[in-house]
Amino acid sequence: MSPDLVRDILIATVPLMVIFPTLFAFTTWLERKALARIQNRIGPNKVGVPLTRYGGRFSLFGLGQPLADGIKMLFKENIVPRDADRLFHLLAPILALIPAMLVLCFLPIEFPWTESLLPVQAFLLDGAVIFFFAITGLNTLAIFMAGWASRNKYSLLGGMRAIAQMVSYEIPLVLSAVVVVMMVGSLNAAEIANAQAGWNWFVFTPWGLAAFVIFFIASLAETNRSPFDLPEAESEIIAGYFTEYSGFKFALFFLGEYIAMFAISGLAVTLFLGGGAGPGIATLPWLSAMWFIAKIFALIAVMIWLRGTLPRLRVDQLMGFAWKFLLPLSILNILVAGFAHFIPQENIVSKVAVWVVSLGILYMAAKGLNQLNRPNVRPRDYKYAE
Amino acid sequence: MNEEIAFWMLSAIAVLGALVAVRKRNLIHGVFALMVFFAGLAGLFLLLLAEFIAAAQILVYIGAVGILLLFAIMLTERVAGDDGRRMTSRGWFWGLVAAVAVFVVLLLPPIQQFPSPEHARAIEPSVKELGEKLMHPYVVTLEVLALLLTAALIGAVTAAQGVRMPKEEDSPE
Amino acid sequence: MSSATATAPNYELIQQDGLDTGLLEVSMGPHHPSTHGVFRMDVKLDGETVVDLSPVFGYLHRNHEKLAENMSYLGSMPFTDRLDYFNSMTNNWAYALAAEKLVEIEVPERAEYLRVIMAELTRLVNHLSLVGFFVNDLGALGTPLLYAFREREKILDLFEQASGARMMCNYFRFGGLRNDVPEGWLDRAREVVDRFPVFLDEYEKLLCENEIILSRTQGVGNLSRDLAISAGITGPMLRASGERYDLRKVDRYGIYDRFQFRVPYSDGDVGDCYDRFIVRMLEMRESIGILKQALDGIEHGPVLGNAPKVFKPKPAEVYGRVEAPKGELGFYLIADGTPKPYRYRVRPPSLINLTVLRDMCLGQKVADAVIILGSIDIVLGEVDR
Repeated sequence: MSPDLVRDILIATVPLMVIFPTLFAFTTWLERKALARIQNRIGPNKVGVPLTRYGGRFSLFGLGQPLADGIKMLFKENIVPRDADRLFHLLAPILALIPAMLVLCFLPIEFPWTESLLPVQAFLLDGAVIFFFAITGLNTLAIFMAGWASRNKYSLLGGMRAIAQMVSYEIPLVLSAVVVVMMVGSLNAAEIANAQAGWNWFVFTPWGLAAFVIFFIASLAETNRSPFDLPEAESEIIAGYFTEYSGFKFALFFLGEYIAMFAISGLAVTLFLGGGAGPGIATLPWLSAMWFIAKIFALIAVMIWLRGTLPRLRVDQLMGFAWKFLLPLSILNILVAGFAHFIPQENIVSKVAVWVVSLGILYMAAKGLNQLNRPNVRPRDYKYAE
Repeated sequence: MNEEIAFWMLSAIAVLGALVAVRKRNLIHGVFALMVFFAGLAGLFLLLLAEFIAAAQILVYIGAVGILLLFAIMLTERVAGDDGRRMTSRGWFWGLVAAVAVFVVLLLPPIQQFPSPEHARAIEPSVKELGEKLMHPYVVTLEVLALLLTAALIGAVTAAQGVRMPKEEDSPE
Repeated sequence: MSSATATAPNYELIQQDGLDTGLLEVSMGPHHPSTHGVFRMDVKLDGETVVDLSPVFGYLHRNHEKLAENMSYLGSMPFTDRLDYFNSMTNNWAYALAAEKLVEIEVPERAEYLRVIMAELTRLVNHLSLVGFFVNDLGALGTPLLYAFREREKILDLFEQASGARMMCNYFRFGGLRNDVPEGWLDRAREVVDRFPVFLDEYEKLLCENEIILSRTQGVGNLSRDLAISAGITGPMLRASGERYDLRKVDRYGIYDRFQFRVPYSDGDVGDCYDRFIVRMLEMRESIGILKQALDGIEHGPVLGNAPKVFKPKPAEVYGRVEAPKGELGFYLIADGTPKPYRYRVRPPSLINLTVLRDMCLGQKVADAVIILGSIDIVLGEVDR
């Protein structure tokens, strides 16, 4: 291999493997802190600088907590159930992490140090978006592997739930992304991001808004976040597929899950939120990457917020929601996008008209689907005996 | 040079995966080995700069076919298959002959002139072109195929409903 | 799946078709996050559907009844705290009520008022915990639970100021209460009671019309009125199934006949988890009303009547019962003229309400089994005794 190529590959990939795990550590802190505030608690606030005597004196809002957690995880005992499939039990957390890390390459984040690179950037591939979906799907296998290898019934249930859920939600996820691909006419992630330069974000179009909402909901299910956290539903099946995992294997699962969250939020940013577009990038190009990550964090914050607020769906409701609600709606959204595309939008009137008509169609459809699918639930009246 | 190293590595992974898939008694292990094989194949496609086919390989074979196989295996008994029974075919000799024949007929000519990446680059099988081909000359074919798949889907749903689910909310777990 | 005695509808079909997919037997518990203690459910699953379920309990058995037969009457008062450890006050009251029937003791006016106040505060504590844990079982990661516990904490502080303990109060005595409440306690109690509706409003707004909660709880774990009555279900669970029955109205024990309050009950015959959830929310509002009246009506006076120094009742059989937050809590005592009861028996509402668990869970999903158990409202200390 030519040394140039090796160097470029390293420059392109190593920062990703450093930045995102660091962000992961920060996100665990953010999540604990935010959930604590939502729940009227304080959250981690003691650990400052772990392993030093300054830990107690400078608590730094508990920012040292993730580091301390990581060290704890490293030293915990690795327990493998007696009847477990030892090989698969070991492989599963690794396999959960690899696809999540891999797809980060497909995010068009323009770090300042990647400018001079040979075109080794994966997001310049013509099929970057397809690759993204293909590789994200591999996560399912890891989860199934973990569920199966643990020889635990809760794990197995969790694994089965995960497969059913992730396979189902992949379809609305892809279909809502199709709209953007259709409009840009490319599967190239960089081109998609460039098409939204300035403030032409697709989320500011009627079809883009609808697709973004569908995409976000489906991505919650893809990453097993609340209210779709059935594969790891604590109150039902203990911890789902990673019930039998401890120590660093568990940490790997945890890391994989959060990296997957970053990745899928990153794709949402690429597809709908203008990629690295934002004020100030013309003068300071490095701001682009900052904007990208800031947008990812905005989405993650919403995920955390939802986790602190919503109860969980049931298995059948979850599947029904994917197949009977999100899927028809995302297909309809493709048609709406076509409609919005072919109506000339020169003046403000026609723009408003397109907005009103598109969102009207989608709203009516959503209402209708809701009426069709919804079990007969409503608040009830109660009587009082004197 | 780089490409050749990558080619041999990927081929080794694919062949090993295929061998393990065939020989392994444990069905689940077998399926995962099969997926390793699929992944190796996808890598080979990528090496030929056929990135769309590589992605489709992962998406369809690993993502869909593999998981379908897993579902099927979950429904069978004795997944681990450690009870000493093994499905061995008696006609291994004719099988070998058939395999060699297929190898000779299909694989020998291309191996003699393995399309180097330079060749591949000359072909330029870009995703864009693929899309345009699908949307312009082959659009009718595509639609017919889509219709066929839809029919198959509806058929599958009907068949599944015959077996179970008197109530409609039952999910395809 | 609407009738309460539903058997799993799918299972027969699978068997007929010859596709033997096998059942998954899962032993949920005793170490399970949402069995509310050391309780176990042996569940047979077809996919995710529960086709059979048998509750297993007794892990927390501590010989409560036999212990009580070997000590003085008053000696088992602290042990009643540990029955349903959320509601030590009402446990105390039920036992005191039974013992007061053995020997005629007059309970002073102030003690009666304080008993009502304590009992209704206990009802608030219990229902808060129940609703919090119930929504937690539904998968809302702790937020509603912690909101509920914030309010519960205020009431537990009141208990602590009055009795010295937050949960194991041991506050009642035969013929009254152990001690009077400290100075200013009634004002603090009034403050808590006055602020409580603010919390309830917020809680109802957050939870009662939440789409996910509605679709998770309605039509889940149905318990018909007939089955509820024949199984001896009591308390909010019975009222959620549509029966108007509340011991505070039926027996009018203590001074409950002096207060204006209503008993919420479900109109229909469904009796699902949603009914059980909402009936408890409504009961909390009624308890606030009682508390306000009691805090208005209370006057100064002694809190302990002229109970005999040595409690040695004549041979008799008595049954004292109260409307505990979970249902009818009764103590059945047989006195034989000695200072120890000849027979001491508890009617635990948790245990008896738990008996219909299987009927409610069949044909539902695993996730439902968890919330059905949560909606029954059991405390293992009382189930196992």
